[in-house]
Amino acid sequence: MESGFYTLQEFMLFTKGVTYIIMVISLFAITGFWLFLTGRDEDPVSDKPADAIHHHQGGDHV
Amino acid sequence: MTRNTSTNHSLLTPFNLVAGAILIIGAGITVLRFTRGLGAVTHLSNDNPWGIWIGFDLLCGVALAAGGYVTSAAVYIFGMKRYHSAVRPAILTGFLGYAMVVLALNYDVGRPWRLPYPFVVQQGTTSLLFEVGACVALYLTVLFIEFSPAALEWLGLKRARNLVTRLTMLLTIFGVVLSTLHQSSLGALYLIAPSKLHPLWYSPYLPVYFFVSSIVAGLSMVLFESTLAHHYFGDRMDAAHIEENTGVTLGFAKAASLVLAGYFTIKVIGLAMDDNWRYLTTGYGVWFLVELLGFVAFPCFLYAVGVRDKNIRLIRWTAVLTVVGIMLNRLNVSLIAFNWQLPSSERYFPSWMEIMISVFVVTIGILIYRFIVTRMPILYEHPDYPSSH
Amino acid sequence: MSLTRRKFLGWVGAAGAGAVIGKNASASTTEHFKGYPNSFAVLHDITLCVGCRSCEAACNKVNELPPPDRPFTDLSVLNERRRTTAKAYTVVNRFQNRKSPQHPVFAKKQCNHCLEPACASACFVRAFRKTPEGPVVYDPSVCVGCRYCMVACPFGIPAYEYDNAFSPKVMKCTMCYPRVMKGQLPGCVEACPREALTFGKRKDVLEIARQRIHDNPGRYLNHIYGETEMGGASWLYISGAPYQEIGMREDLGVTPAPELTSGALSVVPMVVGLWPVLLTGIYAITQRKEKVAAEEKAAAVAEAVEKSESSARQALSDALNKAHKEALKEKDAAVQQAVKKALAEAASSKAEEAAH
Repeated sequence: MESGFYTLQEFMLFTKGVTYIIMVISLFAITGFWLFLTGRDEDPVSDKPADAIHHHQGGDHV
Repeated sequence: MTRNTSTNHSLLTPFNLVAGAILIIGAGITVLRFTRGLGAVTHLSNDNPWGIWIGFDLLCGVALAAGGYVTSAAVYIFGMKRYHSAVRPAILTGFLGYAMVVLALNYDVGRPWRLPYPFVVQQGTTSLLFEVGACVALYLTVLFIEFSPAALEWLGLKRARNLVTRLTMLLTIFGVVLSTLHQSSLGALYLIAPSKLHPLWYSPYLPVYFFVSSIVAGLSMVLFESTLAHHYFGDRMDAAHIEENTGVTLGFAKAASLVLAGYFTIKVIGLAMDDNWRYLTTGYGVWFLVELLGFVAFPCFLYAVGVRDKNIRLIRWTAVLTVVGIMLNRLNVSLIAFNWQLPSSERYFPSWMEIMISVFVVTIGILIYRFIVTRMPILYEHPDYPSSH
Repeated sequence: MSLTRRKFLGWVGAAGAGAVIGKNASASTTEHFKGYPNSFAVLHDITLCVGCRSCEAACNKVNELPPPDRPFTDLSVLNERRRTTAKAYTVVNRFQNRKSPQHPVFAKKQCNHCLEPACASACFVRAFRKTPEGPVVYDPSVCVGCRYCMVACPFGIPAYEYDNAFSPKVMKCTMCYPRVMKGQLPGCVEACPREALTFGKRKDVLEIARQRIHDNPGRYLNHIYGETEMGGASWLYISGAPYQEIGMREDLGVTPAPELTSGALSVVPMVVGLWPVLLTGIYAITQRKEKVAAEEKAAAVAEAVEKSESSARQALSDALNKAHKEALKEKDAAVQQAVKKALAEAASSKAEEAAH
């Protein structure tokens, strides 16, 4: 076996473990990326939360 | 805050007496459970390792606590601001629902003090239960933070409260992701046991069924709870809450009807995909049809009629029917259609103590709900923070 | 019936493509896992078992299990159907033999030590492990006691210490892993007086089973139970009686347990990856719609204001014009009057002059 796994169970333990780590990183990354993406937007008119995100960290990324 | 609450009346109301009795009996069984073991209080066996503490407390509890993510998603993500007054009650019941689920789990697992082990000691990443556990733990945290502004307003901690409300959007999206995952994974738990679950309920679509029906459960629970809240805590509601309520009821009923229609469709598709038509003529088949027609198709139709006629009463009763239907579905999957091939002598039926603990846990939830609703700005807006949560 | 041939072929093509994509997406790998190459297995020749319960006694002894309710020499326990419990890792059951009713069939039951164990796949603390030697072993030091392994096991093997309040464990056959590691035979195999149990490398034991079936076609069914069931097991059976008649399910299929959940597990990261994008997108669209609506509203208001302003201006200028005209008229009238007066005065003065 090239991959060094003899059972599907072993293989899945490994791949799912890696996937879980990627999932955690991606959740943080996508939040940061959204802030980067919208960092230079003009302040949207209405909603508080969006507003908040901008003031919150927007500056760090721009 | 200056409203005078229960201090006026005597504490010896019928409700309090019954609740007190339940708490005392529950405490007794709790002692028995943790000193004599599961065998002393449950009818669990080697063939039936999961009883109502999983089938009712976990599966039904999580499904019926879905109102939190459904409502906050509708209001904050889909921009249905008209329903804003429904968010806080839904978040509160969601949070209490999940807290009670976790409390019940402590009774069910053999060594509850090891519950963090899957995350801190050794990760069984191939298990769907790992996924469920991680999501439930994280989501309970999210719900707690989402609920905290109400508590902070009550305590007068303005700065902390404003800090938390800034996170609303992030928390809502995170909550929906987590809910999608664990609501569906609860169904996926049973994917590994095709030989034990009756084919009519076993389907590769189980996770999808659980997720879609959780949306229906969430919407219906919001309707059901608002009925109860109106009845018992009407004096705690502000004008906005009462005014918006009709709109919320009609809107949620319409959404529930539509999602039920989709749920019905995918259930039928599941039958076709596995060619399970022939089971429909058996006893289990009739029971399956009772669930599908009586508790999915029928409420779907009733909701639609209620919306067309603007019949609030009909909608509220339909919400009850739907909630019962979702509970029936969860109990079918976990208990009734599970181990269907075993002789009836080896089937599971809960002991009175198991039922009592479930009642005990629900009672605790209701008491905490009452405590919070009569004190914190849940059903009304705090005068210092108008229209801003 | 207006279905054209081309349309139909199109559908078939689409379905085929869908199936291929689906397969690639759901199967974790194209690799086929064959299990540990040198793992051990036990062959249970059911036709040789006489139900003496020696294996049960040996199992109890080597695993230091609590003494049984009734002694192992008491064969009356065979009158009832039993399953493995927290006190018995293995049990022998007696079944009626349809072919010759005076010769009942005895079958031993214990953990089958699957090649792809459902219990290991289900465990969220990895308390179960398939060892390279073959046994599936359990580590009680991490077990939380959720009992999902018992839900997952298709053979209904793991049992739980329900009466133990402080350190309940899942109990199941270990295939005598400690003994195997020391080079000894599992307790039951060593104790069997009829050699109904054969221990060896799985590939060798499988060969023996095939040989026996080949040499005695009338004695055995051509089915080695455990070769492919649920992806295969390290405990194999050959029998003359149909397996389902001797308490062994034949409807389990050949799909290994981890594969049953791999589809659902593979959706999890997709939800994590795409849901935030989708939801944030919907949120952004909602925001934008609201912004546009707000702008349109503002524009409408501005226009309305403009309109009303201009009409007011119009009214004002109209009024001014009118006033101006009136003023002019008045002025004219006044002038004319003044002229008349002046003329009259002039005329009268002329007349006066003439009179003087």
